[in-house]
Amino acid sequence: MLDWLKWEVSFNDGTCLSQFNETDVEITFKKIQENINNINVFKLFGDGNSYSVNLSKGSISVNDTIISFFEDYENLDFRLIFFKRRLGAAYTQSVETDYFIGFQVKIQEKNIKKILRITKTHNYLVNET
Amino acid sequence: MASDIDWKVYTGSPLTEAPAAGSSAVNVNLLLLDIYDSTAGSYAANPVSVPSTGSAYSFERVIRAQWTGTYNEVTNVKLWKSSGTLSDAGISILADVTGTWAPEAQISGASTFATAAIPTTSGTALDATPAAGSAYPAAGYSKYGVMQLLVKAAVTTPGDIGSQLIRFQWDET
Repeated sequence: MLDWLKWEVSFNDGTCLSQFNETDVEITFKKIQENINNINVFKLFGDGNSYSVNLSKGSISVNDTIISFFEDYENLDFRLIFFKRRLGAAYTQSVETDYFIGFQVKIQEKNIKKILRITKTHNYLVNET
Repeated sequence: MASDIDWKVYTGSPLTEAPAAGSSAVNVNLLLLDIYDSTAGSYAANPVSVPSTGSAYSFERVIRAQWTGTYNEVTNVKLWKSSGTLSDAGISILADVTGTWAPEAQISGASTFATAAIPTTSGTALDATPAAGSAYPAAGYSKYGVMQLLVKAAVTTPGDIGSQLIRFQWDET
């Protein structure tokens, strides 16, 4: 099965990491998890659009459209949500993939999640609070 | 980065995995033999017939998904039947999942494990997520799925029930 989006991440210290390095070698997502608390922006691209989550501001963007959820985000700790949902069937190897990116943040002991679901035909916010 | 998935069918005692490494099962036919129906030709010759009284059962069919390829983590694994019509209300597919499947052998009597009808929505799906500790497997397996066909004596419209779509979903990084 082929992934149809690639990731790219920038960290708070200004460094960046791409899923594929300059010699086209693939980097594991575990490399991001090892530095998960220092992510600034996590981005998906590859279908002509750009989807990103800003973990400094708690916002989600699709191309130039920025969806902001908080006016006062300075002291909030946004944590990355990212996974690919594979849908297939028993005894077949054909699989469809949807992407989920977003963040979770704890505010007054309440865990809030904001997630963008990206399918091959459309994308939409999945709000979980 | 993406996983590849192969389907495995388990028969015999001790369990034998089929098909061979690197290959994927092409069906999980429910029939009166404890075999992997590799040619899809055995189920017609070994059907579960309508009994004169009580209920008849297929052998328990034991399956598992195997992920290979390059991936980071597999979680939230779900199994359910999304479509496919059974020909009679007296026919049903029973299913459950387990991390360890270690009976003396699969049976063709009433399963003591797969006793409930397979869920038909993703929201009620069986959870086939591998146990903790399988988070970063080089080649990981789902839980075992155990299915059995139940045919009651009250069936009035028997016949080939046709293909059932058994959905399988997982989250991956």
